[in-house]
Amino acid sequence: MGDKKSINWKLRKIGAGLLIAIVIIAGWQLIALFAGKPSLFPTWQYLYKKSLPEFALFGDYNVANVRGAVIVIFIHLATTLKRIIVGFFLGIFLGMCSGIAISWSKRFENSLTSLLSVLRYVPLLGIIPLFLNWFGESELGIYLYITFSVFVISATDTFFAVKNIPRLYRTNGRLLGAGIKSELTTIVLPAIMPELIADIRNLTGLVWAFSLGAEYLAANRGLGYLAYQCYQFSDMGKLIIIIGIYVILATGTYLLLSTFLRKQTRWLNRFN
Amino acid sequence: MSEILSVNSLSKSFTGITSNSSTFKVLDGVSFGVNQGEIVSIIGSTGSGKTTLLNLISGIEKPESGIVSIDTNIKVGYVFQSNAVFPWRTVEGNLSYPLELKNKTKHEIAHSVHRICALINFEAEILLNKYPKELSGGENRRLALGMVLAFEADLILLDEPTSQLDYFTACSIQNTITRIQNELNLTVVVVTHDLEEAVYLSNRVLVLKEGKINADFNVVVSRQKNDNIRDTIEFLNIKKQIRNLLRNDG
Repeated sequence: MGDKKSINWKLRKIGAGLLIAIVIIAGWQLIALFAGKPSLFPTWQYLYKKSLPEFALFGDYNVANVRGAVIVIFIHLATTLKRIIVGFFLGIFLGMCSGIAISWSKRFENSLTSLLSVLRYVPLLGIIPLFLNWFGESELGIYLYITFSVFVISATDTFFAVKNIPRLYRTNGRLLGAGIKSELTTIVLPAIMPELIADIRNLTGLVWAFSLGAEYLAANRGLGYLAYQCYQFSDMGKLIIIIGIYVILATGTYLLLSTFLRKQTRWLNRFN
Repeated sequence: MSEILSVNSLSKSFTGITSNSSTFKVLDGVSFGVNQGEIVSIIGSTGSGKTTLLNLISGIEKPESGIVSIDTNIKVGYVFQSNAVFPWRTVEGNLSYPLELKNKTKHEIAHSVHRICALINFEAEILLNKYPKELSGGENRRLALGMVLAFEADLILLDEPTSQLDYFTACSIQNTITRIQNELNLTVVVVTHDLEEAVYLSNRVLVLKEGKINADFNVVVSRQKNDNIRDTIEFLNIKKQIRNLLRNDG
């Protein structure tokens, strides 16, 4: 009975999502037809028949074609994905380690908390030019920028997550025989898991924006580079396709991670 | 009987968080001893320093002056007033926690967990896979007690073990505590503001008032405790004497 209800609820949720998507697609088409300027407000046919095939011209193709376009997009996507995966995991790892280390020691906490707070308010997209000047238009600069941006958010969120653990859990653990290592692995990490998961979910969305920003200004490969080229030529159709790709990828990674991470927090109260 | 816990001239003060707050001496030269196998209750009104006293005995807080002496081979377990069970672990995970820290084998852990479940009146088949959020308040208190038993504590400190529980659940937990104490010959120090609980559980009741131990009652009711003794004349008399002492004008 419960399963049937749950399936019905999921079907309804999917149905509502599809309905919203159909309304948006139809609405867009109507507005585009009404506007009558496909270069600024392209119709779906224009996107498929004109904008999409032209991506092939960014590669080694002399003629616009869908197959070539898909290959070119995938090549640039692979570059972006590599940057995102390295920057995301390295940033999260370094951020978590730093956040825990700073919250663990009073001396670190006193000296580094204010630095962490200041870093948190640095406009991360605004510092791209700094990385550009420091590292030139190099891969290293892009990797470092994405890693740094993820690190700043991850470190501050981890720091405050550790500070928010009820003291009683750690005291109880120590009284029951936990040493520093056990306290970290059996109390601190599980206790901060809900906040870490929220942080990771948040970052899965943001990291695409970081990569877009970095590639937009400083790369000659990647989806962000393609976006910049389209912008240079005021090619709204291709820009919209790239935005669509970003939306699909960011949503996909969010859903994938959410499904995996949800299993780690079964102990939390859930009302849905 | 040998004394396993000795508290001598223990003092502790707290200062308020504002700059012009005065210092409040919550414990002022508290001294008492506890023998092996005894249950001693410390009773006092809210804010009288009962929890602070347990924190000092357990070593969580440091005293301003005075000494807490516990035999070196004695393991101290502390059951906190607020549930300190780990919400991310199942009942089984919580009970096995101290055993995992001792690197016990899976077989030993499973055996101990089932033994503890029997001690704390838990139906293992039903409760072991549940998370603390799925348990009642009384079950969570039992679980916290079970963790301390898994730790194999010789001296157990209980902070308001039945606060916020209904009367019958409280009685049931009190019976569990006395039964476990009898079976394992544990030494227990309970702090409570509940007169009936203090008298029912203990061999001795210490009255904590204005930062000092004001009185030390020997409870001379039957050690084979059951709910019927709560209505006996001797039980009610002890309650009355302690109540009079606790009153401000007493």
